[in-house]
Amino acid sequence: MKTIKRRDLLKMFSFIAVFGGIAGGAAYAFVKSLFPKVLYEPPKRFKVGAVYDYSDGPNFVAEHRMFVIKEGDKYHSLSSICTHLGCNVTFIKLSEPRTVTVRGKEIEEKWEFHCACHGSKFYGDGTPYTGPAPSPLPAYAMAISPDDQQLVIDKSREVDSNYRLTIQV
Amino acid sequence: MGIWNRFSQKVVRGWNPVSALHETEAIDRIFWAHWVPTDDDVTRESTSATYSFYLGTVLAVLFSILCLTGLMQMLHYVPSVDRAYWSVKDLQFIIPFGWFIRGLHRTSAYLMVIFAFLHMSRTFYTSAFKKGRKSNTNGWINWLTGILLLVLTPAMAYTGYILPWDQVGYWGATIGTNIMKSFPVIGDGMRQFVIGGTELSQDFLTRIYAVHVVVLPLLMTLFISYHFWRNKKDGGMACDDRMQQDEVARDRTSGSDKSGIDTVDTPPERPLMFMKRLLWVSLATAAFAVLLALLISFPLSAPANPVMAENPAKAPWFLLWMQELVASTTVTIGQYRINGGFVGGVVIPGLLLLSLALCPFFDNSPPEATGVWFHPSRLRQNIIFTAIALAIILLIFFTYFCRGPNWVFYWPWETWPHVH
Repeated sequence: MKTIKRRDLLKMFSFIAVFGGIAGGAAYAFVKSLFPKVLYEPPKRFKVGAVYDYSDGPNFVAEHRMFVIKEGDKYHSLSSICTHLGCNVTFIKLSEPRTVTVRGKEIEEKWEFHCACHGSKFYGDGTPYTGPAPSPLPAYAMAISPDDQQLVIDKSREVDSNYRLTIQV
Repeated sequence: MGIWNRFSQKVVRGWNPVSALHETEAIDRIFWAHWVPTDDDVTRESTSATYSFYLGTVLAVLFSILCLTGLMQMLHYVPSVDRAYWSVKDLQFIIPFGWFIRGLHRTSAYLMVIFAFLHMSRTFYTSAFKKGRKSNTNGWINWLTGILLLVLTPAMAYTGYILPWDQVGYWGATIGTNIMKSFPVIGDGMRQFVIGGTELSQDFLTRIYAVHVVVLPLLMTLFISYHFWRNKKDGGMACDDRMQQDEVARDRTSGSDKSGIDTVDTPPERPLMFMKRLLWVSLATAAFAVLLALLISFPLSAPANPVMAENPAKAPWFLLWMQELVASTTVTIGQYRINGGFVGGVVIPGLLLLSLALCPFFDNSPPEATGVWFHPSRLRQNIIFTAIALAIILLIFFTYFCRGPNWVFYWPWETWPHVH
């Protein structure tokens, strides 16, 4: 059986510890530098204007790629980013309302969302019904800003598609 | 002695052969030729145009053109989301011959994608990856290196496609990075790692620029050099391996030794002929690329608009087959729906690449098939390979001609409706 001297073993371990440590540390630093600590990106929580800026139905907020949807005194928001591969869906107003069954529940829809990139189509509540999109358009929590009563969307809080913010004006 | 001859002898060759026999030393003596397989182990068939079509040489020349035209463009391009588009626009319309430099770069890039595919097909049809029966050859290593180069080539073309930061580039990047995001569990992290945040912005463009102009060309240079070196160490083309085996088989049956003169195995009388051929192929390739660059115009699309994609938003032609796959392979398994981006963009191309990589280890055709075009014993392999290659080509044509606005099917002769 091949034996190794203690001195050689210690030499080998020292070598690995010193140079392996340096190389490993450098590699860690290189990789870590690719994940910035601060992202200079638009905030996840933002104001999107006063309630009276919005008309009934989906209103596209281009800056944030969101739809603010007003139905009477109820508001909710849907992302306009297709869940397939990130293109922008467009809002299609139906010529006349129709009844569709979504997850076993009948709903009347007046508009749909269509994606130009790969043909995904979503019901008015954001549920995909044809094309490659695998999941519904995400809905986000909304609130009223206490300082200037603007609508606020919080993209860090995804909510159920039944979520509605009621605002009595 | 004329000026050219003197220059040639002193600077280019450094040595002047006095006879055809003397020329056999050319490869070892001339700096510019030292990487060419030596006459000791390369047969005439190995250098024949009808065996290899010099596709590797064509690719190396195209890569050189890309490096040169790329460097010229780097002097004008500004990798900033605010200025990238306008700097490319200036290159196209303001800089003298900028349109030509950009056109030649694009033409060469597209030709490189085509020729990489042809080169791989040639290697497959001649089962050159099987080379390795000779004790000192490792054909499978060069096959795997070739597959790496086959991936690097469209990767270079794709990253270059993004740089002008126009509509097609921006949305191509959006779709590409979201394919990464569709990867289960680690998708989000991978995308963030690549784009340096959660949205396509300056960090992403800077990274793509660095990858396109430094990382990928360096990797290409490294692997192309290795590819050449490996080929030389393996004794030239795979047909040589077969010839040596034929010879061994002949010796075994006839009991003769190697003293007889074998016309096939005679080293080329004039190895510089090979160099001259390489030169001709290089010049012809460059001329062809220049001609195409003069004939084809590559318009810029509109500046990137993160709110509205073009409709239809199509990928560069060489990725159209994948775009059709990602659009039509979303599958539902029980309560789970798997994104077509993952199935068509990762799983299917990944499996195809894996199958290619495993070819040398599972191809059980006899050694006689090595280095022979369409050997009858490989009929099944060739049919499967051709079917997959044709499917990819057909998908490219289908997606190019038959997918209209909103990704709806149209016959090629139908007019698309006007949308936004």
